[in-house]
Amino acid sequence: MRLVGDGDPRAFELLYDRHGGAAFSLAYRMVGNRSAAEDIIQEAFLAIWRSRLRYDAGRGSVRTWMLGIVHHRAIDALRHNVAHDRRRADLGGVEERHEAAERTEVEAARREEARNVRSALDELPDEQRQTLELAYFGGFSQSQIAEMLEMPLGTVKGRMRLGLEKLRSTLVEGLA
Amino acid sequence: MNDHPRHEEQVAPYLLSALPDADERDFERHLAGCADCRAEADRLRPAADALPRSVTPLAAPPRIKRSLMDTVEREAAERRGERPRRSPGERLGMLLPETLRLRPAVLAGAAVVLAALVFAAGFGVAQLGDESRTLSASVDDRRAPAGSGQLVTADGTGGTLRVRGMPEPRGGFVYQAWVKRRGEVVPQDTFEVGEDGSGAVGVEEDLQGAEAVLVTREPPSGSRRPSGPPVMRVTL
Repeated sequence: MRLVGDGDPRAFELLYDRHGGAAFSLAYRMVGNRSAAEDIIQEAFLAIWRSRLRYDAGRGSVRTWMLGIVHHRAIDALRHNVAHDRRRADLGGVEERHEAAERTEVEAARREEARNVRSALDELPDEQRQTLELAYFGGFSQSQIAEMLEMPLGTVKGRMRLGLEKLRSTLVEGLA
Repeated sequence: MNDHPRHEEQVAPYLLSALPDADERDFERHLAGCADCRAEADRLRPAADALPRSVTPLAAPPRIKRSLMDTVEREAAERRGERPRRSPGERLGMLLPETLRLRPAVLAGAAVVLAALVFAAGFGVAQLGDESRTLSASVDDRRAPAGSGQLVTADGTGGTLRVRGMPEPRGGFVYQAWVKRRGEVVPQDTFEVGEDGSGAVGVEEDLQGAEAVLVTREPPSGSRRPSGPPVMRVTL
């Protein structure tokens, strides 16, 4: 990361090689549209390159940091343009999904990790999982979720907290 | 602190990015001065951080990287005060009529695919360049009596740590890599091991000037600081 901060293209390329797939996967999961996901990844990585966004090791791994940047970019796209509408139009499955081949042990490990986290999510009560997914992956605000689900705002907040609480317990304690 | 009760219920929506922009800024101001809310956010953050890791990995279209690297190389050259250099694809494209300018991109894509196939065919990282190094790890014999590990690094810009014979951490825990430099440790990715105790993790941190790569047992979403002594150490 120090070399990326120094403006080294090879270090940046390495950063992309390691995280581009995960970043694209998250963006695609959120906006459900290949071209919109590509735009988000381009913007996120160029922002890192140009502004040398500050990586704070105290806030977690490089991967967590990168995915956080992509998540915020995708949220912006969903809230400020037509990505929500595009995604709804794509729900019929017309988009082709290309799952990454397990060429390396690291990729295989990440696929296994994805299965484990999804399993933990599946352990949540439906209403909690739905609330977490609408917020995190759907980019909807708490007020929008309350309106969509026709429930009080306080209930939405409570489900978010309980969902994160249970997910944390499942992941940390291996209770799934 | 008086407005703590109002803000406490915003911790989870904040971590999920579900607060409107104005509320988010307001909450962040509160968070800076409220130890209770910070503690609650720190406690729940691992769950929020785990959500993107649930997504099935997809292959990013190669054109994203080509486009990014074209821009990055050009801007890096400008920063060095050099004339902007065009990529081979761009240079070839400039020589062709507009209608044919997609072809260099296709050729570049084929080159990327070919490179990936060569890699998949068994060209190990350690054989990719003269600068690559393979370093063996020392393992805590008491906690991982059959464990072993090797770090492959090229040019000191990170590397891949492969482990074998490691016991599966109990209680849903995973392993996490760290880079130690000047007495501080920088968190890297978490990883799991299979039934045979083998696994791998990418080490992102620049290893130049680093002292060691460490491995500890941590909660599944990883930690900011090691929770215990390392079970494995690669001295650099």
